[in-house]
Amino acid sequence: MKRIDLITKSLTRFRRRHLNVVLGTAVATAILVGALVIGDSVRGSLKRIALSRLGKTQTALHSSDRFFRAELAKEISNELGVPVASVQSLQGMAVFQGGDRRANQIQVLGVGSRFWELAPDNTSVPPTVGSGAIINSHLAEKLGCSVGDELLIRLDRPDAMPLDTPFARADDMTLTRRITIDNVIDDRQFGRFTLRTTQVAPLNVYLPRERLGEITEMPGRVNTLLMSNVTADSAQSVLERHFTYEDAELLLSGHNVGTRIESRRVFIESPLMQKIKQLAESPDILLTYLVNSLEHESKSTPYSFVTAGTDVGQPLNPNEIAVNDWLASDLNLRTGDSLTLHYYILDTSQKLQEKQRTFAVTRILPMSHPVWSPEMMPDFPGLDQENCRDWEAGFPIDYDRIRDKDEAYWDIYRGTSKAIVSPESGREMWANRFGSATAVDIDLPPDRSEKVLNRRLNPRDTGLVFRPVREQALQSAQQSTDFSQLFIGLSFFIIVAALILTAMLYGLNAERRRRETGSLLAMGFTVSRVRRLLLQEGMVLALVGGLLGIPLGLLYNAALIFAVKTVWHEIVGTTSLQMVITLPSLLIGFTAGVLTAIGSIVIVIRRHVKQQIVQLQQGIVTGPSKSRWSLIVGTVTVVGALILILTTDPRQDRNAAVTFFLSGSFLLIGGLAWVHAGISRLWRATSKTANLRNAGFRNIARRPGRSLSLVGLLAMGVFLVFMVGANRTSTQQDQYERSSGTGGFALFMQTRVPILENLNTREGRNQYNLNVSDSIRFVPFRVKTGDNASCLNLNQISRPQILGVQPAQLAERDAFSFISRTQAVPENDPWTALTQRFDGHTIPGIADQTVITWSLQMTVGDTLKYVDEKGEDLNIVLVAGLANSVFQGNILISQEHFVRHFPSVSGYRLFLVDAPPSTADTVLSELGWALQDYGVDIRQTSERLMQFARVPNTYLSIFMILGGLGLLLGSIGFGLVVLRNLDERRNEMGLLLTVGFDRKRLRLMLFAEHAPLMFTGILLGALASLLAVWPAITAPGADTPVATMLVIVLVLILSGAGWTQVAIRNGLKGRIIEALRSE
Amino acid sequence: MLLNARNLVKSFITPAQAEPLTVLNGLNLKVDTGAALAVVGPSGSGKSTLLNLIGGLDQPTDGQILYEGENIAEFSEPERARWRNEKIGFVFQDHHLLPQLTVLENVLIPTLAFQKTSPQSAEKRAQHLLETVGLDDRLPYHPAQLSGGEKQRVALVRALINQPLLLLADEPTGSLDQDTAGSLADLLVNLNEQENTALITVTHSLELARRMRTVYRLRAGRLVEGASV
Repeated sequence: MKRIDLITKSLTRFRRRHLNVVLGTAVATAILVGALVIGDSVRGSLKRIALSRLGKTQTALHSSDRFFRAELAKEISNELGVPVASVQSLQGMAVFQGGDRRANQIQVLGVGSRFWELAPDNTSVPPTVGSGAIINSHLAEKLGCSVGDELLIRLDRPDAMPLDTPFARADDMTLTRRITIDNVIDDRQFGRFTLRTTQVAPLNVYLPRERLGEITEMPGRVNTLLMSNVTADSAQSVLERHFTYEDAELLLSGHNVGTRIESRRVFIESPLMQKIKQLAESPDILLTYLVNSLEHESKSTPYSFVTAGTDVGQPLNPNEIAVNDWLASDLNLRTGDSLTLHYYILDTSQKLQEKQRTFAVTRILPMSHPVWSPEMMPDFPGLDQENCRDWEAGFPIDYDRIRDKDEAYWDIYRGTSKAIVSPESGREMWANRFGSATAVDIDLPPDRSEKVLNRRLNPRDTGLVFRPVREQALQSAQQSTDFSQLFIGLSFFIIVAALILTAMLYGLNAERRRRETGSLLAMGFTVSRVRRLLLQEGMVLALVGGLLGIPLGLLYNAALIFAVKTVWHEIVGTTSLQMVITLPSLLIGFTAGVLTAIGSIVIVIRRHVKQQIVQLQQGIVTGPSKSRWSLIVGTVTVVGALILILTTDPRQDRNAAVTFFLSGSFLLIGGLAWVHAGISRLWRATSKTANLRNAGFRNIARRPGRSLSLVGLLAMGVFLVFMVGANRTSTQQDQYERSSGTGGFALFMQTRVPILENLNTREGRNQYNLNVSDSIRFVPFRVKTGDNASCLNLNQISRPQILGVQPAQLAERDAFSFISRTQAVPENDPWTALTQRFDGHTIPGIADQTVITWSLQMTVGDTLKYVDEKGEDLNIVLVAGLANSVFQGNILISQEHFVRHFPSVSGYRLFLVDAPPSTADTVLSELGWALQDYGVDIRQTSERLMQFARVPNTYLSIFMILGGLGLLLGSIGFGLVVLRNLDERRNEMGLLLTVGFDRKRLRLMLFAEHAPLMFTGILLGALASLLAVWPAITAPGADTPVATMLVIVLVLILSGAGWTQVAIRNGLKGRIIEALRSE
Repeated sequence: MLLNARNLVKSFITPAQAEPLTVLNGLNLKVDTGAALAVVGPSGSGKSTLLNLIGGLDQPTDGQILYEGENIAEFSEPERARWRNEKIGFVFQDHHLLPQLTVLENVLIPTLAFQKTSPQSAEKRAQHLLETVGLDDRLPYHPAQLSGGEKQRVALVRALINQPLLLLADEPTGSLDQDTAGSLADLLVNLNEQENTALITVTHSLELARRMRTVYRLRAGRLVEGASV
């Protein structure tokens, strides 16, 4: 015989007892495997979604507002030998059934055959587009429409000229078309295409690129390039070689003997200007501007162009002006007279403001002078009309002021300037964030200029950069929210309960075999050898349990995925989750489950074999030792808890939450210590009077550690589960507090089409037909679209959406609360920190602390790296973190910095609305109605916060439910303790039966003995947790799930009672009286 | 001299009493190789405690136990285990056979602790001893299939498998009927003589005690030699 025989025979003989240990290990392993596999599944699903939305696209270039030649795609394709898809990608909204169903955020894509070649599955029949359009299944589902239905789509009108540019037209910013649905495509057919890093499916409409170009009046121009099998660096270098002035939206024309360079965007942007200036020695930089009036004494000439910078033979001083003889005649001007210019500029809040400046007339030049040319006028939108009175300008025009002679001038000279000022004066008056020139004249012939300019221009000057979108997407998916850790954390209590159960079951088995252990020791086996024998036996059980745990874990995972796709869908925001199993996760789950089970077995074995041989051999169980320390520890901690509570005001004290948590924890520890002391005293107290009840209590007291572990397991479980669960929040009650996450604002409004007017003025409101009270105020935000970095996006985000705000508007309201800040941020006025300047490329930013910590995985003081519109680096230093707010997912910077780095982002697309609570609903519906054509999405700020809160609340619910399951599992421990106690008391039971007690009475007696342990554990845990979370559950907006908690307690009691009964019945089964005989 | 217990004291702390309960109080005992002695005394007089101390299962509060001149209290735990395995054999009132093992396997358990002999020779000796006690036809049986006397005989063979010099028997016949107890007593005496193993048995049984060459009575924590039985 060998030692292995001893192990195998023991395993075989006690297989039924061991089955429990195997099952305990299997449960722990299953939970671990399940949690790890759900992490794999989320990561794998995000990867699948990423690949699905990108298809075969590896590298992409996208600009939201810059349109370049579609030909560029062909040129790059020819050089690289790979297909390059050019796409016109616009935002819009879709309306179905007369507005009954609408989708405010859709993507309208003008695509060609090359686009479909990049589809994930381009072997399926390529979708055909007839006269109608294709939509993706997600939009069809959202609107409830299908093939053959008609949709109204409203597109954001693409315009080379940013809407904030002075004189830009803002009255017609959308294009509306009715389309018929020809085809509905699924994800495999590229129905999920978007370049945004998100797991949320986009809502897409696909049109032939040429047709969309016609609709947008941008034929042959696109803003997106997609390609496969090429790295971003290679693509960028090829792009640089083929990039032309046309792609930079510049216009070249012959001018005298040289070339005139202008921009489709009217103002030539500074990075391009730098390159243009290098083309010739002394370029003529012109800035032509429309002034409201030219006045001399009482005479005035309305709406005229004035140019700064052109050569009039002799340089002009800053206070000098040259005029044409038509103007001189109109205003009766003579050399030396003063002439005042009235003109609009955009102030810092993008509001038109009329300014004036007076010059001295130094020269009057005849209309025949070559300097006066109609080409001087930039292509201001809306002015290309037959008559001045037909102008549709982007600024207010008083048509009554336009005289017949002005019409006559327009008829003959069109936009020929009437006056010329020095370049310095022009820049001082009219330079803006979009540029300081409208044209540049150089002395090179056009063909030469084009060649040199094309060579010098770099796509980065206009912010056009290829990105390795596939690599970034896969990285974001890989580094996404770690659901493995999350679910291991959420399932923590089940794992602990399973392990405790395993240890208890193993302990029970070991105790039943304690005589065997004692005999082995008596026969000369060393303690370590006996431990090894038991451990080897335990390891086999753990391994079997671990193997069984793998399939169980996959079942658990399937249940989790089902729950995450349905009842818990808030935490993933997609129903596209699929189970993904990886070998490492199975191995890790198996190994961790087995090792932890072995660990708990080792603890039991150590304690078991540590007992004196004689006791083990004779099965002797001793009574408890004195427990003075327990009493002292209990008293000190409970008194400490009371002192903490009595000295803390839960409503006033800022650290109340921490203090109460400490108090609760102290109460729990103290309570358990008291229970220990109480159990020990029970031994002595019940020794004095001999009766059956005392005999029962003494049995409980005989094993104080066992009884305490049971009370402790339940108390800590209830404490943990309740404490976490009670932290659910809603914002229903404190939403009008300035310090809350709503900032005290009633409404959160986003528009897809930017709002250019100031909604706080009567004129602005009239522009949008807003009929709301003057007391309603708006805080507007500029929006640089980026990835959503809120908890609703699972991918790791590196460049969240940026919001530009005037910090004073938030500071004056003392809105929102800060929970972290760098030293540079003043405590009493943190918002002003946004106005600080670090250097040309580094600016301060503020974000929700949750975004900083979880989405960005950064801390306050870290820097986010962007590339601004000029292609330059933009570093945003996170200087402060906000407490949970409506800004979740965004980075806030000052408007001043915003317009400097993103000058072409027009208007405002996000608003916080200050409205009295009583009018919030009315204002909401009024704004929703008035701005519906702007793709408005308006909701109560509290509702937005709740949307975010739903994620942590769902996590808390999951924790409570899984924790509750863990507790239920733990309640099996009750049965085990009863079983162990009964095992030790078989003789006593036999005797009681012999002397006339029936089994029913014994069952009642045993239940009455053990029930107090269960109630003590639950009561202690509940009281301690209640105390720990008192500030949270009494705070405004608390959403304590009282019903769930009560259900958990009830189920726990029922389960504990049930298992106790099962154990008692099991323990009293069989021929107990025979136990007496063997004694 | 095989064993010399000198001035042994053993006290226990009990929850019910403030003062420790002294069971053995300056006990002395000398045992030569091949001796056969019985210790009798009323319940609670400390007979089993004495046996546990001699066998190294428990530690004396005071005093020394010298085995072949070596103080067993100075042995480390592994040394004491090995000493117990090689030099001491135990027989208890309850047989403590492992239910999962056969008769032969139960007997062989002590040989697994250190395996100083080959498994084949250990098995041969086990079979021989079992044959000696009349259990050669019960080798593949499990304890549950044996009578009380048979179980106790297996326990006795198990105690002798490593050829110990000292056999400690704690109420070996306590759970047996008179006939079976008598034959086990015969067996003990015979084996004592055949194997030259010193035998200390503590018992209530006068019949068994009378079979030993020396009888001690345990009184007030000390042994009184030649007491009437």
